[in-house]
Amino acid sequence: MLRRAAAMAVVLLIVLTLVFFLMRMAPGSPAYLIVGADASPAEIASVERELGLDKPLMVQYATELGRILTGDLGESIFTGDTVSHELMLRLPITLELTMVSLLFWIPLALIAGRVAAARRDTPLDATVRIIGNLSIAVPSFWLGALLVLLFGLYLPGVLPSSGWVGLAEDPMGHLRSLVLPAFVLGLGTFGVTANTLRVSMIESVRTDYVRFGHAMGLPERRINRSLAFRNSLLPTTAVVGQLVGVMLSGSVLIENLFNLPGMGRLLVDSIRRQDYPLAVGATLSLAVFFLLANLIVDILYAALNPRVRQKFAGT
Amino acid sequence: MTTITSTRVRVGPRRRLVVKGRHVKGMTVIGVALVSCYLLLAIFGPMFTVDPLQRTGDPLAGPSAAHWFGTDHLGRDLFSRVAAGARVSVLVAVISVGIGLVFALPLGVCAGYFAGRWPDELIMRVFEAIQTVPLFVFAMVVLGITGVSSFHLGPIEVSAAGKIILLIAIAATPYFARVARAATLAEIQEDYISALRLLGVSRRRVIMDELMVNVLPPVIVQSCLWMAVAVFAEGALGFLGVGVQPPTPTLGGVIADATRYMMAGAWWYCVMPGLVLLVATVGFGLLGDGANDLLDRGER
Repeated sequence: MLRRAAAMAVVLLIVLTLVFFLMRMAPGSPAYLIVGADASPAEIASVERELGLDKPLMVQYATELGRILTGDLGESIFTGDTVSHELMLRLPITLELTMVSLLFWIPLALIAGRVAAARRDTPLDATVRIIGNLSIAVPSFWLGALLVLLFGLYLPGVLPSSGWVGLAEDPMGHLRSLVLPAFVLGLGTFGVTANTLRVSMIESVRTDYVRFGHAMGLPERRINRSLAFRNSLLPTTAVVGQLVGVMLSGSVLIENLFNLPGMGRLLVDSIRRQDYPLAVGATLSLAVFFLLANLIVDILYAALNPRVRQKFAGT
Repeated sequence: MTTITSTRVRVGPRRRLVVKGRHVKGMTVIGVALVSCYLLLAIFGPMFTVDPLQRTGDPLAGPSAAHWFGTDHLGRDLFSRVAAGARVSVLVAVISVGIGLVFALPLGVCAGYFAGRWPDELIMRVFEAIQTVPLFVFAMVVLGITGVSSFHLGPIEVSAAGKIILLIAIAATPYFARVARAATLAEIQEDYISALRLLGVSRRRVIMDELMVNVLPPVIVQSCLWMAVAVFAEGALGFLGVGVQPPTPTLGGVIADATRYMMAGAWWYCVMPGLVLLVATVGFGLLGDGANDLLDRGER
């Protein structure tokens, strides 16, 4: 566990360093965005001094690193609000979107994968596989755009195709505004999860424990449920962990398409406005988010697998 | 069941496609067909269409005999724009996967050859670190910050397309290397490798001449799947406006433009470029699966 935490810290440091230097290499100064393009050089210089942009690069880097390590992410150049506050406003939206999407698609995928494995090589199995493969292949932002077209133009009023409604203002409207983005965001997870479970369950037929179950005369349903399915949950969990990262990337696309004020939207906006502190904060929190998701999946994996559980207890 | 051992592709008895004595599934045939359509559109499409940058019809006109895919908001022919976009996406995908392979293959084979020793540890740890970063987010940041115009990396000028290609290649390399490493581990157990070693063939020649060639099949399967990923990534970056820049048409860029004119009822504007993307991703996916099946049966 310690080793993993250390590796996470190193990765974060590398991300932070790369983002910092890339930002400073970029053409144009953020000072222009504050005072306007036609400001005098003196005004620009004073704003740059205020932001600390006139100091040597390494000094800026060290200050920035020290500040972030103490939990201070600075202030947004554009809104003047603290970065942590901005992030706190946006983070729950992306989290909720990802969670709702997973809660919708993963159970469906588990059912589909299990049914397909149990009825191997039947038309039902083929249908699950085709739908699964299509769900992986279809470009999410294009499907999202088509849904916006469908619900915005041809079926107006059925589901909102854009924007965000707060939970406190209108709980029903809040859920409705989540439906389309969550559907599109997690679609690919369905295919990958169902495929992994199906393949893993089919392969488990060859394992000793399933053969032993047959030898003991256990009924087929019991073998499927207790042996094949439960053991196949292991590789499936590992895959879902990787998918959370894919979904974070996806949320950048989906939030921009559906106009949701989440982290992905924040990242794109802050990059467009050259709002350095905000972009660094958004990237770092997405990276932390991603690493944490992987850690949670590792712990889940251990909880599901007695063999790994013992190893974890040892370290 | 009769199988025909032949290096040619031909239809065997019971009308099944057979390659090198192995049956090819219908799905793989569809995959080959889809990929061919996409490649043909990308290679020959731009040669036989009107200028994708010039106004040649009414703005937002639906599909017709004159404009197969309709026109965009400036009256430019959508088919020619989509064909030009497909060409960009093929170039980006092929070059990025190619660069990834060039780096991953030797590194992965070396890691496998020295499994458990320091070269292996070093190579695999670095790749693990790359895999922990959500690369699409990172690519966005890099492209967003360094600007979408060309930038200078020391004396070398890197264009926007070059940046996208490099980023996709960096993302793909760890996956290719892993597959190459695993295949090498299996391969060095083979008798012919021991024989070569006994004969005194140098380590370098075993790695370069034998292992690098013999681990290719599973790596090629992986690169088929990554072609789909690369096509998607290029489209997605274009959609967010950080891809290859206008005036060059890209599939993602056309879709992004289309979202602004959807409420005017211009469904073709959004549907057509996406269909091309879909053909490519589904095609490469099926092709990869099919190649994987061939390998599986070859090994058993």
